[in-house]
Amino acid sequence: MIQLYHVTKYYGKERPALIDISFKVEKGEFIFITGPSGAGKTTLLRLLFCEERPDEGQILIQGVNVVKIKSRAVPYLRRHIGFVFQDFRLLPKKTVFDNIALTLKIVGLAKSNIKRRVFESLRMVGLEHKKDAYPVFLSGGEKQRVAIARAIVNNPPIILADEPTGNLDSGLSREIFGILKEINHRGTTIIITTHDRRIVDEEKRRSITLQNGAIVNEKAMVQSEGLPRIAR
Amino acid sequence: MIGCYIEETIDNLKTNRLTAFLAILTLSLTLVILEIFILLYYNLESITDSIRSDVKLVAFLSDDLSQKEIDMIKDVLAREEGTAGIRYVSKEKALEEFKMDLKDGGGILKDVGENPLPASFELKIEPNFQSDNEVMLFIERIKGIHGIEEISFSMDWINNLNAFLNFLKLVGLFLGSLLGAGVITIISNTIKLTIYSRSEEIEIMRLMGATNGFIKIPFLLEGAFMGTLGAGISLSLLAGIYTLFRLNTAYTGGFLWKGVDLVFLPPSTMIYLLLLGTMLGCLGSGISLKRFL
Repeated sequence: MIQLYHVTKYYGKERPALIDISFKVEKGEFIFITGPSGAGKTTLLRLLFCEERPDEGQILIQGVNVVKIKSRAVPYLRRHIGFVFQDFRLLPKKTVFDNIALTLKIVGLAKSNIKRRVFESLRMVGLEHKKDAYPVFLSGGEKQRVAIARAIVNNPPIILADEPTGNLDSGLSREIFGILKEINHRGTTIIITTHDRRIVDEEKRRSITLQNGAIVNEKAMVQSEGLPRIAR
Repeated sequence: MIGCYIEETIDNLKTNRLTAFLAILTLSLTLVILEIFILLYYNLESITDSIRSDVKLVAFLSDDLSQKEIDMIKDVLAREEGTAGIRYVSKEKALEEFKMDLKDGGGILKDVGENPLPASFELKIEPNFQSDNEVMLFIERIKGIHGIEEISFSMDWINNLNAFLNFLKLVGLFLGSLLGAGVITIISNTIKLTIYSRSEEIEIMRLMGATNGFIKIPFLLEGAFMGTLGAGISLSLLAGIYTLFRLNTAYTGGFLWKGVDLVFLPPSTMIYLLLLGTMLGCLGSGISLKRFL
């Protein structure tokens, strides 16, 4: 599904933000990218999301070398990836419904389908009753659930989440992870960056630890009932 | 898809109505300044044309001409290149007009026995023939006609007028260009500010996989709408100012120059101004978006 080969990224002439990163993510996997602040987690997601290009190495997403694709093809690639931000990134002047619907308008879906799909994803995150609310009237947990609904509404095969629980307390964090695990059960590949070791240890999923831009540790998923085993 | 863009544009205008309102207001007020200037320029042109059409040359005739000879001279003068109009003033008519021009109604002329004023032809000169050289050539051509005794034309006056009007036009064009450049800068900056205030929205849409076209088109439509509406409002404001001014001047004379009334902008200019508004709105949006896309 996703393959990185010797990826290096520099910002200026200082030490690289990512050094020789190589790993594979299989279809349907749930993987944590962890490490302290400044380790390169967000840079890695930005590369996967084609927000930036690596200086060295190759990145394949669903068989497409994203390092070589033209800029005008990037939006079409992004439609296959849902992105969840730490700061939610909801449009404050649009309702919950319109925030989610925008993703479908972008892909040119018919109005009738948009309504149905938005309700489906709102149901999935348990926020149907908040469809007409504006983000400013939502709690942090609710905002993140809307952001997740927006990321999944187009049924992308991959979800990238950058510190999705960074602004939430532990109770809400578990709730958000619960939703993400549910989405993963349906076959969506999920990559989450977090600096919260506690959650990574609790979840017992595959994790890659970055430090100073390099992979310093990689743990395979601990098998548990009902979850797919990922061989490494 | 066009329907979707229009819907999105209307939604955006509704959502950002305060910003849109302020942008339209700035646009209208800025454009109205330019329009006042254009209106002044038009009126100056109208006065200039009126003065020019009033430029006269007087050919005085000998006293001993028969009616037939006078008619012949009239024919020759009327056919002369550069003649825009011709009027015969008989000796009697000349005296009558002279009396009317005098403050005391011609009392001073009581003691004058025979009418001393000659008959004459007043010739209106076409604007194209009002330059120094052309008028000199015109005079040269007609002064040889039998029966014409003297030709009166104030060359200095018309030259000074021409020079003054040309100077005014030059100053007008210079100031108008400066004002136009200022208006374009203000409008594009106003639209820039509305777009900057929505930079996060653009960024989020980009990250969600929106193509540049999907992001740009509603913004360009918004810019065009705000520009057209702003220009429309500014023209209405101008019409209001014009009407007020006319009403006011109606009490104090009603005209600027010897019966030359104020004129409003012709419809073609109004359409150009509306299109200018649309174009400025679109251009302002397009240029500002380049920073984000």
